[in-house]
Amino acid sequence: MTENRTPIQPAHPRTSHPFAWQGWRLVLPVKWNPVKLDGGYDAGSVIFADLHRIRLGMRWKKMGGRSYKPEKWTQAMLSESIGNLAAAEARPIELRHAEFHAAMLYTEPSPPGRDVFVAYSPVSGRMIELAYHTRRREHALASVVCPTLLDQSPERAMRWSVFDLSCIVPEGMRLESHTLNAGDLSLTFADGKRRITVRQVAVAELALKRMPIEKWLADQEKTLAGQYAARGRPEATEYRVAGRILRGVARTLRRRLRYFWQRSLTPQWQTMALHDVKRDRLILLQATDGELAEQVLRSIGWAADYVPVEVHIPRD
Amino acid sequence: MWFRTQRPVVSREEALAARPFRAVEAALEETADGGGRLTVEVRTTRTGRWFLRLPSQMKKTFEMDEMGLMVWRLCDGKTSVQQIIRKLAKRYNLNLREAEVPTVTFLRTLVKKGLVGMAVKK
Repeated sequence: MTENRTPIQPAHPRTSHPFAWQGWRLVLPVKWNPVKLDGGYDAGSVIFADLHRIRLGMRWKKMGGRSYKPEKWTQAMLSESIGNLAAAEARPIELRHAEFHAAMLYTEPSPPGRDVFVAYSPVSGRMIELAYHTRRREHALASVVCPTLLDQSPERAMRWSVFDLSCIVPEGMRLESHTLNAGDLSLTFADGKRRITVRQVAVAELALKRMPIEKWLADQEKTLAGQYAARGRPEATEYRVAGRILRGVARTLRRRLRYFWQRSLTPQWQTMALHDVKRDRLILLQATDGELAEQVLRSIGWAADYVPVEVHIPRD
Repeated sequence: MWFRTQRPVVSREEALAARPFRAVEAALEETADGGGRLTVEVRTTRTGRWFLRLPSQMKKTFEMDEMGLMVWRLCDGKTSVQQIIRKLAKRYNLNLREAEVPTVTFLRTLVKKGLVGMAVKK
């Protein structure tokens, strides 16, 4: 019976969750979720909303050129966002946990309006702007969002976390495409010839009732069916990741013989379909090499193991 | 067109506070996979019976999975859309946004099929 089903509860009742996208990392209230994701690593934007309204806007831009003037860039970005008069009222803000240059915070004196934070990150050479849509006098930006903002170095392994899907990809890998449908999240990363797709389907129990795990694997393999062919039957695999058991099947796809001349195609792909029993998620991985697949697999769900911080938005 | 009746404008707040209720009497049969099968009687019009040779008593069956059945059961006229979303997210350990999108889409389908009505407070 549906009514008697025991809900799968996370280890901690959550009030916050991490969000990691294009090198930026934030800890946000659990009710805030991205509703629009645009752009790439060099420039892009994200809009967060809760069930009722838009809460936070995030925008970033890579700064180039010979001159290094973070103060000027900050002022220009602030003026563009809130106008010259309001930009003049912005005050410098010090963030102790991360290295940001020329960080400025504008607090709307008479809400409703927007609180805006702008800073330059020397880690990636990008400008970041956070705009919080405030209805009453709150300090969400200064006390909840900004203290958790981090810029990850592009020369190191990068964390990604969006909705319920989280993973860590090796350095140099950039997001190539994303499909974020409710209950079916997928991220594809690429670095030259190396490529990996991480897909997560929720709720696994229901998904597996619809289709056995071997069919999920075959379904994922279909995306490469034109140039690659599966050899043999899927092999049963099991991984232990941070106290969780991932159980499922894996198979290697080999390049079809008729494409022997096409050197741009990698000779093989590794595909895995695994059931994360504890989180009740179905994980589908497809990578150009088995080592890469295993490396990313071991990091999937890092956000689920993250110990939440109590989020409380102070008001005047 | 100017003679077309205007659809009522419902804000997001009102839509989330709306209480869905079952608009038809349906026989529910539970399936082995945890889902359910709804059987609804369809009344055929006299013209339909005459021209299309439809029987006077027709039945339509709708199949639902476990989640769909849960939403159907919560369409009791007391639980709001927002509460349904929260309950679904809690039961299946889903993100609120991940629960919101399919719930709203599913409810919209049920409304279109005439199975569910929405009580909106203005």
